[in-house]
Amino acid sequence: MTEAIMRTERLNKAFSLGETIYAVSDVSLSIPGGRITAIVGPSGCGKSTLLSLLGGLDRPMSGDVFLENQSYRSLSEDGLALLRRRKLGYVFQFFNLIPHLTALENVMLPMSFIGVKRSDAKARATDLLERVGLGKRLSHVPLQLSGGEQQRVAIARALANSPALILADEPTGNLDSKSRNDVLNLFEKFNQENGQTFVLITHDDSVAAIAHKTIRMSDGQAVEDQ
Amino acid sequence: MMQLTWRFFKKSWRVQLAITGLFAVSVTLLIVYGTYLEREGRLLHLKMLGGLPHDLIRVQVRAEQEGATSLRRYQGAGEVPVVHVGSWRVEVVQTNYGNLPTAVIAEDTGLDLHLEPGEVSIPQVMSTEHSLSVGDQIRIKTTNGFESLLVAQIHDGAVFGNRLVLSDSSNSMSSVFLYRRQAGSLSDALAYLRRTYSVAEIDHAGSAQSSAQKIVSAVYSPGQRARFEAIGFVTIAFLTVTLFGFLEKRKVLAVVKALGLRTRELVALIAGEAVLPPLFGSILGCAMGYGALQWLIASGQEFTIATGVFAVAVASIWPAVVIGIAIPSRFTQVATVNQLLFERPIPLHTAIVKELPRRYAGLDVQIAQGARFVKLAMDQGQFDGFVFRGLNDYVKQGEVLAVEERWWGMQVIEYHAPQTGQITVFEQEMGLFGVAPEPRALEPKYR
Repeated sequence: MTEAIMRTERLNKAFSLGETIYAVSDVSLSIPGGRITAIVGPSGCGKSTLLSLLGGLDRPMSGDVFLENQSYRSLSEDGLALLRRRKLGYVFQFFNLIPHLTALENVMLPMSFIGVKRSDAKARATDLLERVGLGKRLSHVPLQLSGGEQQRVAIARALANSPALILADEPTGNLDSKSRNDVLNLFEKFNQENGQTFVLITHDDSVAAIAHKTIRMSDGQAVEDQ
Repeated sequence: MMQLTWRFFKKSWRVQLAITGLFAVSVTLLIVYGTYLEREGRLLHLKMLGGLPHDLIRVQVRAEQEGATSLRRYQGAGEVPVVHVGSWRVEVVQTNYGNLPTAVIAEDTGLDLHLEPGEVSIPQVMSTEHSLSVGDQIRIKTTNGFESLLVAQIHDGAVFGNRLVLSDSSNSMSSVFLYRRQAGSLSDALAYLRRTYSVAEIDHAGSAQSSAQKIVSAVYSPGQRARFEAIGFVTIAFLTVTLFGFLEKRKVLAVVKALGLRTRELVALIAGEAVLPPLFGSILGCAMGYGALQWLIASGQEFTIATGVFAVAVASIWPAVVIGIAIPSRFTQVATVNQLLFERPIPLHTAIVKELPRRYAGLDVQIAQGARFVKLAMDQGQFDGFVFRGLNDYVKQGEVLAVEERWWGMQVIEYHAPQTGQITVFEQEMGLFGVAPEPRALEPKYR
């Protein structure tokens, strides 16, 4: 059995919408290293909230998350930021590339945060963009790229600092079927070739089909499938 | 980072250019106006005293104290710090050169003027203005009609100001007294004279400049107000631009925060972009101000270029920069990535409650036994927030027991566990949490 790279202990997160609504309720789960894990559930079941907690983007009301046995609760905001830049990569549904920067500069950006030399960062970013099939689009800004291409740049950016874990929130939710398949193929490729761990948040069972493990969410609660 | 800052700057270059221009024009105006005020103060200073000798102190009393020539008994140690040199009465006399301020000195004054009856001493300014010299005559109006007086001396205005000086045997009432500093410090002498003349203007060489500045400030107070209003306008304009810039870039800021940028690095990113227009504007404004002053000097204005005026002009606008950067930076500091990404309200203020607001007599026994309490803000028995813990739960010190949002999420109140232990009291109607210390109970749970 693969060792867990991430686990949670009784995570809770609530929002105020006139009454207390638990977006994430008592969620305890584990994410195996070197595997693709899918968190599946209908809209509004708390998937994105869970992802933001797993990624240290938000703090739980109670409970804790451990990444490679590092407790999030014990980390300050700056500590969480350092953890995000070194150990986590993100792929968002709406790509969230920096519109002012070219594809190459977008991929180089996370490397500049950890002090990689500019020439080394440029070489690695070029290599990653070639591996996602965008070797000829290095100097294009996001507006000049299609949705599928932007998402591939986002995947290259997520891989830039060789993180322990990549979290992808509805990565194919905004793509046509061809681009969707391209993106899923990339996840499988990087998982098989590099042993990269992915967590995919999706409402689409066919996306979850590429995962080695599936966690189903309903009303803020999680159930692990085999 | 630098690259991103520069890209932000370039993207909104029109706005940045406008702000740079605003700062440049403000600095230029402040420099020119500051130089103008400095010149007015300098000229008034010269007019007022023309350089009173450093050991003389002049006292100009008000009507109610006129004639009070005797000094009070000196209460300090050592010698009396001043000695009376002379006194005179100030009046306006009608002359063939118009109505002129005049110092009428008593014959027995200690001033060594040697003015005989029928003689007058005129100020240098009047001599220059009307080409008068010793031996000329001027006519003044007395009770017997116009009388000719011989110009016997020309004085420099240091002691008498720009006044005619006449000698008069009947001058017993005095309104101006002149003292020479005798012993001790200037401040001793001034304190002594202030005790004697409770309501009087006391001038000495050093006070001239500040008096001149005071008068200039009073005369130009509308201008000063306009200067503050201009600085206020610049502050509001700059703050508006930086706030809109922040709102426009909040998604980008959220993304870089998600990618691992620390709060202080985000602040540096905001500040780096925001500081460029004021920086360029200040440099440009100094250059434009220098050019404008050179042009005014060339066209005959008696301006002096002083670096202090440039420094004051630049320093006056930098509070606007600090405010314009600090407020958006504060928003970034308090915002979580979620708030930025999903545009939830960013709290302007977060308060932490971890103790009782006041003493509750009914809890004294439990507090004496080591329990600690927090109380939620209740509204008619209802708590408008989220409660995460309940009776018998184990909690760590600082753990969030409940959260309340006020003002549509702009203010967040967090209720923290006051100590590590077990919740032994949870009174829902009062909103009271009591935590008894049981640290050992936590060990298996949090190991």
